[in-house]
Amino acid sequence: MADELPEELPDPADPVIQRLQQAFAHEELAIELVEVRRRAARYRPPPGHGLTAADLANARRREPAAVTRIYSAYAPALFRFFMAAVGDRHQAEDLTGTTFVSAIEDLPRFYGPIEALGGWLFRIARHDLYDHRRRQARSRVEPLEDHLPEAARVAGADDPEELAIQRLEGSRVLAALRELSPDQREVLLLRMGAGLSAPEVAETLGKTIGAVKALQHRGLASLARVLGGLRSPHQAQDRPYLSPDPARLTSQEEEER
Amino acid sequence: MTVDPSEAFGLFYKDNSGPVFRALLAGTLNRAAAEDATAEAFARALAHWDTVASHPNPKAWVLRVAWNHHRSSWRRWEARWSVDQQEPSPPPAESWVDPDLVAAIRGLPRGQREVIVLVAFGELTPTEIAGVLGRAVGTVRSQLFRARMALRQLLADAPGPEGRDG
Repeated sequence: MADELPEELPDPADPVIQRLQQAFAHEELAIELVEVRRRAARYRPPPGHGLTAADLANARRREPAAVTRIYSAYAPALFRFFMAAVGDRHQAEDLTGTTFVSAIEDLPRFYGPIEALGGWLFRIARHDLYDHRRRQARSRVEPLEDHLPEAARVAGADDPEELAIQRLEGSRVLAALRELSPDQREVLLLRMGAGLSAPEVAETLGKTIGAVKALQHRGLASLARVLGGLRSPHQAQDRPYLSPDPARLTSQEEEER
Repeated sequence: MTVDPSEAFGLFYKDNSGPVFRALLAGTLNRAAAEDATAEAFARALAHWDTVASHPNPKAWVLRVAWNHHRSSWRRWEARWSVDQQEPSPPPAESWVDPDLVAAIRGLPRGQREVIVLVAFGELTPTEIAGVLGRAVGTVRSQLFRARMALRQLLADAPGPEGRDG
């Protein structure tokens, strides 16, 4: 096994290593500690961070502490997802609440490991969102753009939850999302809005990870186009090891689907 | 040890932000991306300081986070378009100290490039690098070997800025 091999440090006298070190020796990070501290304060861990299998088992038995932990771990992401989708704070709060309640009721029928909980929760969320939209369509037509000012207004406030969603609302991003295909929009809402990982989004939407990544690539490319006018974001210079061209990747991966 | 955690992080940042930044800069050759990845990784280190402070190699932890942050094109995209930020201006043309070396790094396959900069600036062992990059130790060893050979070859024609001091 690898463990039995002696653990050598690379030869410091290797001229290649030395030249590398010399070439960059004068480079210093131009970011102050203060800025890092500010960034740390804004950092939000991925949804579900810190949950254990025991939390899940306890929540299945409706143990309040465990239910609360799961709520705290996912409610902000659910809220952001709904907020980005409906653009209205009160509706987003309602949807978050109802989704969570029905999820907890259904939890005894969720057999997956804790890692699969996010995908499962967001499947319920997506279902609830569609129900909500059907109800709305029946009652009155309320196009998304009507909500954008409201969403923008919310961005100015400063409680933590609102800070957490500040990237989305108010934004050209939210408006630009409307320009995308429903598939792309949904993937971006789950990735950007809710902060789910690609595998979680795949689980939520019942697609392969490859298909999700392809939709994400294509969605981002469209979003960048919409946001930046027709100027494409600087690529070759900016990304020395370029991920494959989004458009090409898309067609390839979609075929695998 | 009665070091204030905040002070402890400050010291950790002071000692390690330079090497981590240089590893990212040499690996990406993109100053903005390297700064962003380094700042993000140290911010997360602070957010998870309990974990990081008791980690056997905190610098390797930060390098891993920085690398993952950079590798995920989603994150790079998000940083570029995040709303608090104005439209970014195109990165300025870099004038590197050692353009031949930079060209040589550019010529390396990505995997080899990542490994060699982690050796040079991270001062990590192959096992630690394997952890940082999520690769088998054997793969890291062979990539390191090939990167050295390739660079040696590429640099043979360009002996470097020997005359300059530094």
